[in-house]
Amino acid sequence: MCTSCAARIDRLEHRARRDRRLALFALAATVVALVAPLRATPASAASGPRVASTDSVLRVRGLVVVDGQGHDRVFIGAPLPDPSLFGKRRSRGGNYSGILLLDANGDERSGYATTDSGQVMFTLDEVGRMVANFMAQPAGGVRLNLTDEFDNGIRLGTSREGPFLDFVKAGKSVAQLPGGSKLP
Amino acid sequence: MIARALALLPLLAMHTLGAQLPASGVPDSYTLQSHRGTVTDVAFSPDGGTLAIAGTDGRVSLCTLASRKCAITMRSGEGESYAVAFSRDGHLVAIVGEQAEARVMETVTGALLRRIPLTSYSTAVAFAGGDTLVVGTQDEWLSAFDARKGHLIRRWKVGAPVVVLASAITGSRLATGGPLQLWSEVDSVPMRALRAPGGLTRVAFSDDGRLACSAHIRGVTYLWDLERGAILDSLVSVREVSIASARGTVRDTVRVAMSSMALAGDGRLLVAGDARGVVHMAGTQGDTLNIAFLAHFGSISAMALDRRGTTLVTGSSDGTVKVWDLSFRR
Repeated sequence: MCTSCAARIDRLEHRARRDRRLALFALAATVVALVAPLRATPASAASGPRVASTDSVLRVRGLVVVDGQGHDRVFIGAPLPDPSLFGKRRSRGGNYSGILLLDANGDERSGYATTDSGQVMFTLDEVGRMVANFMAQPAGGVRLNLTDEFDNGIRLGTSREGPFLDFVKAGKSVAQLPGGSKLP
Repeated sequence: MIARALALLPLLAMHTLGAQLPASGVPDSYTLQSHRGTVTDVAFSPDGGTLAIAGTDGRVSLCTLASRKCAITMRSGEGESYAVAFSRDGHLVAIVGEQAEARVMETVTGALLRRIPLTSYSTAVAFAGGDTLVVGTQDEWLSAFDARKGHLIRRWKVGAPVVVLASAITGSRLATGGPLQLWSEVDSVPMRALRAPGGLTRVAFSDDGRLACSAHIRGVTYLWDLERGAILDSLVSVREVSIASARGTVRDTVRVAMSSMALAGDGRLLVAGDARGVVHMAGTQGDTLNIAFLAHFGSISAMALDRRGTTLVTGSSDGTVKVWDLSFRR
């Protein structure tokens, strides 16, 4: 390779490095120019009227959370809608307000709600049937009911008459504490 | 989804085995339509050529089976559509849904003929004789209307929210549930309360009105002899479960909710769909057919048989409507 050629190559490489530095500087300057006004906005807006902030209160009658397929999965409402089973709604038999959880098929599986008559309850459901119900009366009593698909279950709680416990097999009471008591 | 597919492998195997052995009776099928949401009801026109499909997306479609096309799309109003029914002559189709009204359309054009106000929302509609439209509502009323003129003929309290409803083609009978009850279509008199378990999901009649069929949440479908009020046959859906205990793991079976059902016009074929998406088919009155196969990846929420029992339509919470060829029965 000739000496003049090597010198020429050195000059070209030097110019190329300089051009790259200039390009990077221009890019950085552009980004700063674009971002700076955005960062300045909150400070300049602070003196003006507040349009929205994190302490805003949302007042609605209902809120539905949907999954990636667009299916309703969580419902918050006052009142809650009637339950849907296999695509058809069924009467809930009263006004309930609170939170519902639905499975991927749209069937209701859990609820945490108050009734207009003053009860508050937490429920767990298999498809189409409540299997656990933890409920407090407005005054004077709380109870927990657990059942399975064979109508076996346990009922326990307290009332004005005292605590109670009831074992149920195939829908019939088989043992009670206190013995012979009439469950509230 | 993978876990669900793996859990259903035995059923898929059964399906595949059936497809390889047509003599076992697993039918050919195709997907007619897809909905965004659950398919809530399907109904055949009396001639079996047209299908009405309703869904929670509010759409109601009229599809021609010969062309596999759904040319007309209607709505039951704002919100979800729950049930559809054809008139006896096939000229009218009625829709009910989340709004407290029934809509009556002309089948050929899809044109809205009447909007009939109801006392609450409805999931149950059927046509009785002539153009009499019967609608059951959640506030426990059963109402009969002149579908063409839109006026109320009579209505009566049934004592429970009406979730499902069927009308017998002959015999002037209506069946309702909540609790399964039979009614005289002529004078609204209760004919018989059948001793069925609760949680009714569907009810249907045979063409002659002598047999009825009821599907229940607790995993069973019954075929009823209505003259005697007795159960003639039943279909049960179960799945195996593993129960962990201090003494080790125990295998047991639990019932799976029967979410839909259909009865052939001659009463000789009972078809039920369960919450896993499995179709159960059973011959009755001497017909020994007895098969089950996976039809959908979601509960089977709607089902209809044509009157000859040669075409089955299933709709599901997976949003699809499938048509099954049962001509092997002939």
